[in-house]
Amino acid sequence: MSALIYAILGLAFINLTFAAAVVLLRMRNVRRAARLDVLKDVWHPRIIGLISDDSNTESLRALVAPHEQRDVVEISWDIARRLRGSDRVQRFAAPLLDETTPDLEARRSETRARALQIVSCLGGTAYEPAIVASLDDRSSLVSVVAARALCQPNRTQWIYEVLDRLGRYESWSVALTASMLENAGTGAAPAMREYLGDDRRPAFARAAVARSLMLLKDAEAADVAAAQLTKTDPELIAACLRLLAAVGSEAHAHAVRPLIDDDRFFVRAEAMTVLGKLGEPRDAEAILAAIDVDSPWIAIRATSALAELHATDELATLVNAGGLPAEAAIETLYNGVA
Amino acid sequence: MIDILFAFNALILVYFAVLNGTYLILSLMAFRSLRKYIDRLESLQIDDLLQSSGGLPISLVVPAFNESETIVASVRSLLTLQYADYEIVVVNDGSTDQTLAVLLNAFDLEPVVRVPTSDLPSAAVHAIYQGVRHQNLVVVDKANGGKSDALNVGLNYSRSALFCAMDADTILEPDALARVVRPFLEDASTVAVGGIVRIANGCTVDSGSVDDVMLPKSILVRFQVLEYLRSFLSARVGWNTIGATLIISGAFGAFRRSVVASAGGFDTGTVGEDMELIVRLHRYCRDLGHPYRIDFIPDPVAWTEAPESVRQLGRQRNRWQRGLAQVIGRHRRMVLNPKYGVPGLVALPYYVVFELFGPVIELIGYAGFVVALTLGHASPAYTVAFLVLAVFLGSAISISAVALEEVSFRRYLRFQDLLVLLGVALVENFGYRQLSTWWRLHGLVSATRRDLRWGPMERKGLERSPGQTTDLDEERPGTEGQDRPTRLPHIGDDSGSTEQGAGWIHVRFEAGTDVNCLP
Repeated sequence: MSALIYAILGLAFINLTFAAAVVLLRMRNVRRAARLDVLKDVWHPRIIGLISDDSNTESLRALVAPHEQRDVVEISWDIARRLRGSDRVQRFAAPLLDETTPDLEARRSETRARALQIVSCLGGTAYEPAIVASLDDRSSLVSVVAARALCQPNRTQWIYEVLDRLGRYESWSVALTASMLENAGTGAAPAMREYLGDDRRPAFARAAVARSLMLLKDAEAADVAAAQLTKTDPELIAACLRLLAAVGSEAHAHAVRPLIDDDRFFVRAEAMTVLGKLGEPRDAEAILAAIDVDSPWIAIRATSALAELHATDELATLVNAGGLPAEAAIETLYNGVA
Repeated sequence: MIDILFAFNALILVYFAVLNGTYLILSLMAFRSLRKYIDRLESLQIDDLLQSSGGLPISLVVPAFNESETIVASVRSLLTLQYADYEIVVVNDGSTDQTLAVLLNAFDLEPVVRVPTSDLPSAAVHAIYQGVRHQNLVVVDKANGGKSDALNVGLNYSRSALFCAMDADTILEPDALARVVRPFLEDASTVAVGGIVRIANGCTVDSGSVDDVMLPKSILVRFQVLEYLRSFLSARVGWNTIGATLIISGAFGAFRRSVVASAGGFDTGTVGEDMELIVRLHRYCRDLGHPYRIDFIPDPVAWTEAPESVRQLGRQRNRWQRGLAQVIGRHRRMVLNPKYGVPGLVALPYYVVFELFGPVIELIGYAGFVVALTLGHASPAYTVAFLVLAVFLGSAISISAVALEEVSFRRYLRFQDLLVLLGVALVENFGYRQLSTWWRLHGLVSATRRDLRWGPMERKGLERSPGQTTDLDEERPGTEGQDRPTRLPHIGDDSGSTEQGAGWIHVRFEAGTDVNCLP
């Protein structure tokens, strides 16, 4: 019986030890956080001060103790990525990156990605070749981080390198890829237009490029987009239609008209929207004829397009016809009036 | 007789060994996965993109039934979320109190016409209102039909590519939407993402946001805090590691709208509509052979109020167990079916044995242990083995959940809260676990009677002055009295499937759903 009691006590002791380990972990975390807080209290105002006055960069750098170097770089990075005028922070931190750069070769992709972010933000042009090389990293996470680092208005010379690798990002959201490319700014637009018109490139990537050109409101891309409307990929066609809705002109309407009868409902819906913006009053009849009573999206887009074309007679016809298109027409008229 | 008792006890030991062994493995997988996830969060500052044009539009669908006391504060809180492009669709599910009136007054709502964008069956819709000042606030007033019915109506009237299903009393952290959308950006095949639900009892809540995170004083709620940590940080993260997420909490989950609508929306014939939808999405996507991803991520946080009385908690657990039984009954064809991959071969069998029938086996095990001890047939080896496998290993798993919180998000910053959590982990297996098992057994018995009631729920409210309480009868009469699950339009139950695949968009999910985002 005593053996049993000892065994139970032993088991309780093991659990208590495990619990004590968690307490020790908390104590370590608290100590670490306190040390970082102290460092931040000291270095944050100093680094912020550099933005208004960088005359003492060298002397300030000399104050960084070797064991604090990594943490000071982290603080610098945190400031630089949030503030404009951070080139002075870069000048301060760049010589301190020698402890971070070995992480670019780390085994774990997350470590490599984080190091890449830091050197791309603080390292300036010296690290650009390393960033470009990371586009071909075995991890798509690292590759995306590299691409994002290169999609900056001051790094448009690398846009072709990024575009060449867009095929790697197929699993990523088109919205995310497009937003990344948009960050490169209008300086990258000519390369993107070229990419959009290149049939050898993957369709999903060209769709992302079309979307980024739409976000950039690149009017020169309209002709290229109109030329893609005869291609087969529906995702690309829909993206080009959205681009045309944003930057197209009446001259592009003729390329859009055949698509309002397209079998794919979302292509048809986009085509109706474009015709609403770029079309002529005569397009109202074709839009009316292309309304699919089963699709609320088509009905909503079609009635909005008719309203844009001031096609009140056609809208009245829809209201009287009943069903889903009538509801959509009433919504357009009612909410438009309200 | 002794041989039978011995064999029986040995079987019970095997059961506890496999159960807690699975939990231990899940905890270890969760530990690795959490570390990797946190590193990933730090390695990709996606917030910058979300603030610009990279974020996908999302509709928050908020079913509300008799929420007049809290709905205004809830909606105000939702209006302050940090996300570029979202709409709030509040669905007044036939409330018998002043829910609609207080909404109309507080937010200057005007009647509008809005075409439904999907045709999920539902109770009648009376009117739709839109905010004059807050154009992204839409209120749909409908006849009572239960939570699933209200969610389906919200889905019908939402217009974004994604929607987020939540409870009216849930508090979302300001960056919760941005975080929950992240997996949809990182993988275009993502169809559903769940965030973590934490217990807000004991925390300081001000203007619809949780300001100071503290443990509650009630021991019953403390047990639940620990349970939630174990369930979300160990089990769900662990299952997610192998692609077998079967539950996304009804209190907070984001979904790709077109896929949920094509799969038939929320099932009004179950009280476990959240799990049912996820299991059905697995089934739907695999039946059609489309690549898909269902994720659980631990950083988007929703705060909820936990029951504070034994009676309320018992009802809640009873309902959860009934929901589980209904889901497994409905999708029994998936169990051990290789066609359904890890969810069908591993996760669902686990749920059948350890979650559905677990209460029966566990209670028999406890009884057998007591009988063996009383009759003097419990050898020291058996006693130690039972205590190790059923009690101490359980405590170790609970402690590991606290450890996971410590290495990841560390929301309970007070040192004394950590000590209390560890204390709760040590004592939880002596009484609370058995009580919980008893409630689940009751739920299982109720499930055999096809009980679809939610049961009344008393809430004190999260944001209140000391001593103030509001008792809300949250019974949802819409599901009461139904004795047969409602048939779903696209994916049948196992007694006969119909129209599978109707409405599926045969291109990347985004291509089809982007059309939902009207300019």
